[in-house]
Amino acid sequence: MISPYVIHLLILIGIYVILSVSLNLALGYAGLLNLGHVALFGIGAYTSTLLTMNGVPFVISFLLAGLTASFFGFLLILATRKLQGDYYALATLGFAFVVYSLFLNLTDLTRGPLGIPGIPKPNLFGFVIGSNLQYLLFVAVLVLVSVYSIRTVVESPFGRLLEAMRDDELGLRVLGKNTKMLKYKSMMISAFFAGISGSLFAHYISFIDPSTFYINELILIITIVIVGGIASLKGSIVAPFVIILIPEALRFLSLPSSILGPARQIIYALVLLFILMYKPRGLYGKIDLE
Amino acid sequence: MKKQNKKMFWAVILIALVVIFVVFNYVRSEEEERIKIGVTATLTGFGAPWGEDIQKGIDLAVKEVNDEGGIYGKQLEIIYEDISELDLKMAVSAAQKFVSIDKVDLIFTQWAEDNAVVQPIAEENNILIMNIASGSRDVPRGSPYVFMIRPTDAEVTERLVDYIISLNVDNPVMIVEQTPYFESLGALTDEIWNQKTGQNIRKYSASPTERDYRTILTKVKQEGYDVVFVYVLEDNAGLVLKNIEEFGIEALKIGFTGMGDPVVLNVAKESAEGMVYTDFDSSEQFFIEKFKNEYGREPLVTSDLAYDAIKVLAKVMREYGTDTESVKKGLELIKDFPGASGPVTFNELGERTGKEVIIKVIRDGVGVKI
Repeated sequence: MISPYVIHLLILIGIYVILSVSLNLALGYAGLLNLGHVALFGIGAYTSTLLTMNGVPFVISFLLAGLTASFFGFLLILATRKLQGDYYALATLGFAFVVYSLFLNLTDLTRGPLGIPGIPKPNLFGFVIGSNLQYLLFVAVLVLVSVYSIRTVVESPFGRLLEAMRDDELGLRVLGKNTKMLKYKSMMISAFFAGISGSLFAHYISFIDPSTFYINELILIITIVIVGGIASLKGSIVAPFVIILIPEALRFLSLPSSILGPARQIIYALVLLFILMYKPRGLYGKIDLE
Repeated sequence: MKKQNKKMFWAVILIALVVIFVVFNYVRSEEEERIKIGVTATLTGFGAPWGEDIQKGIDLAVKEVNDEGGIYGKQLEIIYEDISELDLKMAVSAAQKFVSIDKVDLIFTQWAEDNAVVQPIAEENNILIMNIASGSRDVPRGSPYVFMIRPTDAEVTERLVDYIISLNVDNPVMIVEQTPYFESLGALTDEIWNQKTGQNIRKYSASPTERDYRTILTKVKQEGYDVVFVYVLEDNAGLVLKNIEEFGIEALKIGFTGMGDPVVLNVAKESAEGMVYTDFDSSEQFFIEKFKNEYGREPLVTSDLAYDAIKVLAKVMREYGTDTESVKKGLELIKDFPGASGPVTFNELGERTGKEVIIKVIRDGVGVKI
């Protein structure tokens, strides 16, 4: 019998696998340094939560979470289509701040800082995913579907065009390719999977608030992608195991209670630095983050 | 060769992680039985001052209980888990570890937020929760598994509102920081004010990262309010009070419990004069002295509550037993336990009652009881 604690960790890892492969599609393959990915994660979480808690069946809420996030991904590219490089990154970060502000201030809809407690477990056509083991199986299936889908995208001719755009957008345009359309499509696909991972997160943790989808979470997601390696799906699958499990392993170190919290954070940071010193491109990265 | 070394390096890392999990997941032999309490607390990040104070209060009490021989010969063991910046994932991970790896007998939560995600896990495993630092109504009432050792915000706020109304001042405004605690407190204050006066309180929201309140205060001054509730974290509250004085706003300043802290007064200085706020009776002198002897400083607002949580549980366990039902029964029956934070009694909703709420005013830089 697997320990409920291990099951819990595997669920979290599964959710972050979907989140990181989706970000890697935009960042690693399309070259879009999207610092607003955490906002898309949050949009999916809130969409699914609000719909479910107002009587919409989970399956529809779940899909709408992805589609809503995808729509916002479209809007994000629309707003930033003329920006590149660092300016694009800053604009997407601004998007993340705007979305956080909306979560915080649309109190009639989101309850603002108070958050939304009591989010129900998923109900799939009458079957309630009540236990953590059932939830793990559900997440595992979705991880397989997500990874397979994104892998199909990146290994297709479309995926090769994305990589070409990442490496030399001007050159690709000279060849007559519509890079704007590539950006829209890649961002919308990326955002869809971010949205569904948000739905999974909300229905598992059962409580969300705006602070969950802000700077700290953004740093975690970016860290996972960098440690895994840019433009590497394998890296985005392995890295959540490393990033989620290291702090969990640190729980078992017997440290004096007076320094417990800070000591664990320092050790965690040192381990990450150590990894990146030996593997500057991440575990399986093909390119540098520029 | 270099490639082989790298492969070896990663193989070692992977094996180490697997070993850690196998060892701690399946091999948990105890040399002696203990009574274990899991604690979720903000030991790092913005909530660290309160989390650390809780930790110190707990450690002090545990040391005393264990020196007395423990409970039925078993030592108390505290397992702390940091929920830095109120990361709810960490709180869920901590709770899962408590129930399935550590096999704790009880869980302490710090705020309403970590309580919200820990409670379902604790209830599923028939484990009691003692919430230490939140009086918020967002901690569910009436659950047989949750007890709150801090007096409720409702009791405190009602006392404050009654006092303000007795001064015959009207036309209030609130500056509320957009964090769960203050948002909840603001909503509660508005409700109670409305119940008693039939009016609502105008609210201005301040971002948690706000450092300049002049835009908000410009509007406050224009509208000519008579009462200003300052519901902002202590770190920034002093700044708000200073800005109120700079703007020449002559309204009565109202603070929440904690506004008499040096953190506020050292920044606000003369600007805090005349500020009215709620407070609890100070910690019992015996506790203040013990705390100072142990840690070299005065306790803050949460340490006496944490200390009492352990002491109350020790008493209850010794009298009624250590299983969940016995502890629950004991907590329901305990009356006026002489705690460091005052007499401890719980009502049928698991709320702490009997701790006196006092109203203070700042005079010459010091909080004076009214």
